[in-house]
Amino acid sequence: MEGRPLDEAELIERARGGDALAYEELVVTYQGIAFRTAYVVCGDAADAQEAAQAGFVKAYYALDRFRSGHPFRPWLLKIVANEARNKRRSAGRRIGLELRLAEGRPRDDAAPSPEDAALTKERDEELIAALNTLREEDRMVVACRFFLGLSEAETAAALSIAKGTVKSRLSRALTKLRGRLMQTATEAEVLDG
Amino acid sequence: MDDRSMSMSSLEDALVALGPRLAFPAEPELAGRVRTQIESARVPARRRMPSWRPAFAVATILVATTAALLVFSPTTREAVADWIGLDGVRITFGDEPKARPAEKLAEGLALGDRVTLEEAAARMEFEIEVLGALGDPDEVYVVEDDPPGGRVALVYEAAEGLPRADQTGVGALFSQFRATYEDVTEKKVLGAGGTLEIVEVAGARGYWLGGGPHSIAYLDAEGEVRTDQVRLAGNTLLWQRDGIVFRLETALSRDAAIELAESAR
Repeated sequence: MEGRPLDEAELIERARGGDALAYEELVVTYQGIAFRTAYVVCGDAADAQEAAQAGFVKAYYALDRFRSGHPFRPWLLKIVANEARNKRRSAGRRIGLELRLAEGRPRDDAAPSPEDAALTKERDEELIAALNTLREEDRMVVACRFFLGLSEAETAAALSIAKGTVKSRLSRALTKLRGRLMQTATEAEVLDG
Repeated sequence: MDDRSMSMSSLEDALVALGPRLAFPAEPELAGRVRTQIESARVPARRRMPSWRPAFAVATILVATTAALLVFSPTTREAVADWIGLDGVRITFGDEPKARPAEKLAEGLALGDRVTLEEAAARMEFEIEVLGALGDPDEVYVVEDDPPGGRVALVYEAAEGLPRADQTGVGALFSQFRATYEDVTEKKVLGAGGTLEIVEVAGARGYWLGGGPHSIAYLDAEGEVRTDQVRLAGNTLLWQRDGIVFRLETALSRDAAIELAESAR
């Protein structure tokens, strides 16, 4: 979770009343997930930043339409993701999110042994290669659910699809991934043999 | 299915584990930009200098009023980890780092090239501020590309009213660097004795990191930790203005450090 504050409803109410500082606290809370969601949708860091910023501003002016008592995050992510889609469309970008492994080891991770690190890296690369063979619409669902930690409902809101579609795409993606990974394992065995 | 086949749940576990190892761009700091955009769209009759609201300090949210307010207990600090937003600055708490004290004035601090103030001004893209209360620094160091946009460090020797800080060996170490979403995230790790307070420095939100030693490491735009600059800092005041993050390390009390910081120009 993004450390959702207990007094979120209060912040929203204050922001509705024109309190930009209360809104700023909401921005601070959700800017990370908003940016990452935009990045998954449009596949470009600069566009994702602009989309997230524009989304926050739009959401501020749309607060009157936000239904009190409902979770804020999916509502916000929908607005942000919409901006990100528009960005991507206007940039005419056909290639979207491409996954790759971060250089170096992840922050805050204990140092693994070189053997473990190499093995993990190899597995990660296999998995990423398999992920990159998926249809983009499937890859985005996987990214939202597993890499961003969005709920099914949030994923549906962000990608502007029905919850049932999230389920079916995810299921299709996982089946394909499993198939790809098994194929890789078999190929490796043939080569080893 | 044979032994090597991957069950759904282990595949899902593998995906979850992969997440943090993926290359994601560094997260930008948006709060200030969003607020600026919202406020600039307003009728100017409204207040111009917003005062900070009374604090609702819950989980990861902190709000400051004038001057220092909140001191976190170690347990609260856990909750605060990985959140606090000063443009490009991130503060987290962890195990106390091993002491690697500086030998003497600005030596062993890995501050970069020793230059004159004029040369530093020519080499930095941003305008360098000096501590008005202390005048020109005794030594000036720059690094041009690490972090991107460069960093300048002004060193002030200990003097009357400016005690020598054990961690740096100097009276004041005043660093400035550009921190925007493309550039650097600064990560501070406090030892068990460290405290964090939210303060106001010349109308801007700042952070006062006091108590025990804490190490400083930088995360660059690619999220890589730059450990070459790790060293210890004494009492530290962090604040920002116009996309520049300022860091003042001294042995001064909080209020004295803020006063000194507010003389920057």
